[in-house]
Amino acid sequence: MNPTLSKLPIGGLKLSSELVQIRLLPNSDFSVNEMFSRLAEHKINVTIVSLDATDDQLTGIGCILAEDRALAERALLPLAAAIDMLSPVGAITIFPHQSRLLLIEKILSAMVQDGLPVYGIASSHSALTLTTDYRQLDNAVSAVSRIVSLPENHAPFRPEFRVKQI
Amino acid sequence: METFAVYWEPIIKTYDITERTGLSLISFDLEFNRICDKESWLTKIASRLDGSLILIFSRPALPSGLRLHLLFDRSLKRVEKINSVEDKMQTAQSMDINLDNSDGVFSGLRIDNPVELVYFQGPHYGDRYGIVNAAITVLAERKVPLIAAVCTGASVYLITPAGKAREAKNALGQAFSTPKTGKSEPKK
Repeated sequence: MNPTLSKLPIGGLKLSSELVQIRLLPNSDFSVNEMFSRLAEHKINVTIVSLDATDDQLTGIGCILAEDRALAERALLPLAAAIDMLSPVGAITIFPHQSRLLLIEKILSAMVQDGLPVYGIASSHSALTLTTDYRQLDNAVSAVSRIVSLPENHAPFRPEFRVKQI
Repeated sequence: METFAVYWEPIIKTYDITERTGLSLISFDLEFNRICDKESWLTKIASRLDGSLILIFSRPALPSGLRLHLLFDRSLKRVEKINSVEDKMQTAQSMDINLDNSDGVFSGLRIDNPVELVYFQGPHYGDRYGIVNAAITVLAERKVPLIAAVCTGASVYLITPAGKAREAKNALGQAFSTPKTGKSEPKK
């Protein structure tokens, strides 16, 4: 049997540049508003965000570019006891997910089976983004590629340029 | 990496702000070592939910796993507001929702139902600072409660309690430029 027949078709994969994942710890004395406000004041972009208030206080994660880490540490100094910074982090984005729970389940299982960490998940209507160890992004692509079929000659997109807000 | 473009606008532009009502948010702690050798763990959990997935998002949860959230496009029937996690689990099961946890892959089940969603996209959001800050700041100023927020790429999703999406949308419409308002200058 053709192994691609049992794979789930997707449109493509996209990989991030090196990131730092900032987590506002639950039950801290600081709010996410303060954290994001300080990052914005220092013109630091937060590329991926996942927050929830299911413990009655909005908390969660945000990713910044690795090159902004030193600036972020200064910006968040008053919140130092309330946050942790995880690095190196990379993001792999699968698109489109088409709301397929089977696809998400198989990708997460494949990552875990290969011993790859999943630090966070954020999705949109079309894209599913997982954060993992930046040094293992290629291994993450291998794990995901066991599950999905990609268009012919598709190679994961890697960042080549960016738009900067002044 | 090369940066060859810069971007600035006096008021943050959106392509539009959309609201959706009558949704349900399912949250639970997922231990990675429990899904390693399990098949269909997620599809089994969701098998009794009548609806399509809109969003999935998570944050780390100790010791080794994620606090996972699934937003579905239909509200669950007959789930009432309850307080403790144990009560929620019991009620979820007794209300014929029957989230299948026969593999024991999740704990700490919480169901927020119904909930509402407000979402928007805008130019180069993934590369620009201050977008999510602007959104949660204006909602905090207007005292619109948030259950969750998710951003990836050029999209921002804000989940509110029932009856709050319209308020959130109106507040965001005052702070952001939309095709309808067409504002290009900050409000004085």
